[in-house]
Amino acid sequence: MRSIARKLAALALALVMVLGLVACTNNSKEPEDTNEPVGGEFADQIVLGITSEPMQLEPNGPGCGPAEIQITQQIYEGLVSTATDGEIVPCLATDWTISEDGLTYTFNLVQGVKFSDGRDVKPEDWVWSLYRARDFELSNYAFIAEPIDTVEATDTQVIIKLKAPTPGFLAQLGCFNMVLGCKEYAESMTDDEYLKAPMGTGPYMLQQWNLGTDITLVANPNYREEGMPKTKELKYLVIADDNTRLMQLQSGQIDVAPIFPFSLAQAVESDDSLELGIYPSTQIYYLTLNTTHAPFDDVKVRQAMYYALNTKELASAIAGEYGAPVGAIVSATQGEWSNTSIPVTEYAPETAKQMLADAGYTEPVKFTLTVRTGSAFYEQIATLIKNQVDQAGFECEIELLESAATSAKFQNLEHQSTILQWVDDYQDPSGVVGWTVDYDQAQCFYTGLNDVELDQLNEQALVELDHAKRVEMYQDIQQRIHDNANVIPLYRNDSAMAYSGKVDGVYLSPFYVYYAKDWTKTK
Amino acid sequence: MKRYNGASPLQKRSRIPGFLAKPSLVVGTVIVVLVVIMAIFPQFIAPYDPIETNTLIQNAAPSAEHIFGTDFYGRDVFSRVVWGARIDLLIGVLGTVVPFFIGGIIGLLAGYYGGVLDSILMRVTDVMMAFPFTILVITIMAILGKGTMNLFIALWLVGWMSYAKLVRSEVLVLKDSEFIQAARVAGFSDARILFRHLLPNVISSAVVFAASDVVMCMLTGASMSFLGLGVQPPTPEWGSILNEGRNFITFAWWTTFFPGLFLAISGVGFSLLGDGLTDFLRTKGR
Repeated sequence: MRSIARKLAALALALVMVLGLVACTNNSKEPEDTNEPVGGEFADQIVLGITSEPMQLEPNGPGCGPAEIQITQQIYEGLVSTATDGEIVPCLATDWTISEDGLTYTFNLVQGVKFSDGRDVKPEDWVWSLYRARDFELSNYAFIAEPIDTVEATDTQVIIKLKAPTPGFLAQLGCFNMVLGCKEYAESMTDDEYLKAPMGTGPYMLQQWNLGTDITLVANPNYREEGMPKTKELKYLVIADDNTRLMQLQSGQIDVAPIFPFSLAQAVESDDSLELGIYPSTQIYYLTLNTTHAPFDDVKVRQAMYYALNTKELASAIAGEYGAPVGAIVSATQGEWSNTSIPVTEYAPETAKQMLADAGYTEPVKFTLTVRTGSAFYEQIATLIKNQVDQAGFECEIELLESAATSAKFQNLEHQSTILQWVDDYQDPSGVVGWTVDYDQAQCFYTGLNDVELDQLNEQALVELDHAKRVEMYQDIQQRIHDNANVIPLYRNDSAMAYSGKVDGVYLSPFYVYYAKDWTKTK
Repeated sequence: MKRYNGASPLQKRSRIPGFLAKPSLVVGTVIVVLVVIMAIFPQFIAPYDPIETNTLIQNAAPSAEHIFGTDFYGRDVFSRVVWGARIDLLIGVLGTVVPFFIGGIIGLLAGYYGGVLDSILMRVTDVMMAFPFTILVITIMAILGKGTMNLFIALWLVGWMSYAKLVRSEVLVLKDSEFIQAARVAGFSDARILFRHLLPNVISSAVVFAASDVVMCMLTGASMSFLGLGVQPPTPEWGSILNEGRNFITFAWWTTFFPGLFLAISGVGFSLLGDGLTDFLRTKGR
């Protein structure tokens, strides 16, 4: 009897498995491409693989970074935008005039612009949006809108009055956070809801956001330019691992991999069906030293660090042909603003040791280098730095912490040193310089070094209208930052995008921005 | 009741000593001995400094100078793998020995005295066993923070339960047997009965389990380092070498392949040793 029962059980199990198989087969048989319209040489959808999920999709939201901005830039537009070469070009403004005292900016608006839900743009939307960029308390980029005193708008014009003349203001207006939102729409919901349900006048609008997996943008039916965007749908897939991104790119599951690591460049170049786009970037990696704790409270120790670092090796090991060591904190991609007379210090371990000895350090100077996990770059830089400085009178210990824990540590100045990077948001040196010398922005790049004299120089440079003089002031500021040695530039690098050979029009600006409305994908 | 003792009549008559008659035991022992030699004398085996970088030879393929190739930092993968054996073995052995003693004593006490003590200890074990091993280790690591010492603490906190359960069940079987009753009647102290009479008779299954537990600990240690929680860079450890090589797996397979291979081989070695020990001890009888 028992064996019969067993056989029956086995039979039942087999039956269940067969049924399961049948069910699966039925699913996979379902035709996939019945919805695809016939005709047209371009595909309706481009799929992008991104490494981290945005926290929200409104550019004034807290903790905005590349993950958020690359999507909000497709949804929102401002008065002007920054072209690939860094030039400021008209966007929602057709043209503009700047008063002679540099205080009043008058913009003539493009007519008949509608939000993606069909609402007309009203003058109050402009006033609300620009004040929001300046005043929204959660924004990390309010400093970009800081020069704004008042905003007035009519149906045809936007008039912005500044607190003080700001030579870089037009470039600042081209930033991702100086964009137009709909006041009525935003005020119909809570702040939290609005951060996740963006709506603007841009070529795309948010259709669906499945937390943790994908974000779908579709063409804005009310977009002001006929025939734009060229591709109906953009789908962003969250793929944390770069190797997986590469494999999905090779198998055609994704079409574009924005912000691609150089370590995998070789694999893309050797694949004929893929393209690797290399774009000049303003990105620089920095070693930042916390000057509120020993040993980096001593400027002599910090200056010895220049000689203990082999930035050439860092640049070539990590970014290969796409990177180079730098001396000044302002990127050379910013042109004349960068102080090219600051030399790249040659690796000289003996000099570093001597400098430490002169400063009274007979034992190796111990310090902890705290870096975040998740991005391979930081760990790679830290490992190489440890090896370099350990031969030059220092003793470095690497501490790898999860990204949020790392940020919390350096924001509270509880670390000794960390590695941070900066990408400029606009064509002007005031961004990175302000971040480094204005204590109120980021405790001077989280080094805690409040150099009051330097900050005053910075404030003067911000409002200096004479171009040549302003350039000179920024050169001087960079030299002084170099002497303070609290923020040590390591290397600059280009940025890269990997994409399928079928996709056309892909580019990335020096400010990490792309506009996908021109992108196409052949079928 | 008939008891199968695991040994065939052929084996009994064979002239080969019992130890060598178990191929799994022999192979397992050879592998484990090799790993142990590697762990004790890496400086004689490894040709290069495992943490010295040389960016002129990044991700170089295996060659005569670097038989396992080099990694992203130009470090010799063979040297790193050899030095890694020390830490992995340490994790495996220390991660097992401490729980072995703690768990063994807890099991002994719980089994022998029973009652409230048994209930409390066994309920704690039940609760902890309800969680998957790795998840529990990750949780403890998340609370303690990363680092090698914390990895040990996590392994110790989680590892003792299996030994406690194992020893307790053996004690329950034996504690009412005649020789224990005789010892009690003779007026021996509890301590003497526990450690002189009970322990030698219940420990063999725990020893066998320990041999396979070493593998478990090594793999867990490697997984934690792979996740960036355990051993911190640039210290060589198989899991962390695997993790570092992961970014380059598409064109520099050797940085992930060789540490993985060594991890797998030593895992198999310890498992074989465990299996062999089981057979061996069973054949010998109690």
